[in-house]
Amino acid sequence: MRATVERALRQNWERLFSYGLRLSGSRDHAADLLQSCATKALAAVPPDDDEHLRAWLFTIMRNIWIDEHRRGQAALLAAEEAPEDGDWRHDDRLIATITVRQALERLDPAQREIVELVDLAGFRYGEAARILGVPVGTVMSRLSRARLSLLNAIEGGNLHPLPTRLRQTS
Amino acid sequence: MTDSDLLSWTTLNAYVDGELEPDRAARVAAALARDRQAAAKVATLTRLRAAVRATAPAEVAPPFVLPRARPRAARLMPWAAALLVAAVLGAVMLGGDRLRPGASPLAAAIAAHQLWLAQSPPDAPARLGVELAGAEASSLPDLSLASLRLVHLSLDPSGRRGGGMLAGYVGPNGCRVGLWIAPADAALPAEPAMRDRDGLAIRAWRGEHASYALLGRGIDAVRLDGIAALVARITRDEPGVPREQVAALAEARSVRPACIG
Repeated sequence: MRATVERALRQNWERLFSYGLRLSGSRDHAADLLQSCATKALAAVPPDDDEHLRAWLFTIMRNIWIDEHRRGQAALLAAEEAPEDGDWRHDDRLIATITVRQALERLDPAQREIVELVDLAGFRYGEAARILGVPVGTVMSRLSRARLSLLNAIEGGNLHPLPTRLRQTS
Repeated sequence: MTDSDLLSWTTLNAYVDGELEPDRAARVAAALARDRQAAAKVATLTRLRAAVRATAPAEVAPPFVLPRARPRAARLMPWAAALLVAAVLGAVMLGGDRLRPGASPLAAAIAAHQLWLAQSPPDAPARLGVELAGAEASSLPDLSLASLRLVHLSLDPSGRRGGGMLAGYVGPNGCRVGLWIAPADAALPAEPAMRDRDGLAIRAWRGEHASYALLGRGIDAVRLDGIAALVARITRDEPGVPREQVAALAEARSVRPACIG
């Protein structure tokens, strides 16, 4: 049983750390969260189903973080209503790794968390819902709102990729 | 269901993520063929999703190191710790007025801390005091907010000054911070005050039933102040910890030089 958990921890080490970083915003705290998560996971009975093992580890980390910051839980609660996208006027050419990275930093914690779980850690909506303890519909609306915020942050950012014309002449 | 329902922003996100049931996904695909703006949204979402996935982690994860399994003896340690805490707190409550008037209130604290520092780091086998692996002694302050975990407990080695106990905490980089708990000493202030001496940074104060001293070698003064404020708050049994205090602890840890003790 310990070997199963160890293997899962090894396979998800980087992603768990990244998730801890998103939750806490601090490298040191993320490293502490990672160790606490490993300690708890190794002492607990893992789910029988390998498919749920990964989500179980993320859930443990999230619960540790919430326990430590119970007073700050309100920060995790985002508006859950479906987003209004209004007139579509986003410029796809602005979407690049660097602008996306900057925009991610501007998202509120709940939105960053859902992007981290679905887009970066690769969880299905159902798995993310179990980790967050919310209905799947909430994951859908939170994620779509987060992506809209991401696009708005990219549009409103100060750093844009060089226009194609300038790149050609340099 | 109308096209506008099928092509809502939330549904398009689920479509791009492959989260729709096959029949609904097929209806969305058919509606997209009739709506150029919705198709543009899908193209943007697809590009955004790919760009997010391509972003490398902002920080490299620490090496894969699992916490050590507790040695068998360590399973008894929380009980030993609880007994130790009860014994010392009992002595503190009953024997506070037996403190020798001429003795420095911090001499025993410094002796106990230096004795602990002289021992091998916490990973080595216990020789003196009680070494804890992930201690769970609930009667002692939980300093996880300051990234410190309890690893050591020892009684006053001299045993002649009304008793006292050193609770040893260690940070993620091995920094050792001692919390001395002894009979209440009226000479100490009610709030943590600087009492540095003998090469140790010390903050000392008195509580209602006991006096406390926080000791560290080479620890940043601001960080020690933050930890002392946290301990004082916890030992006064004040509910919760203000967010600004948590933030100050985190900042002190992240921007100040690492402890060398």
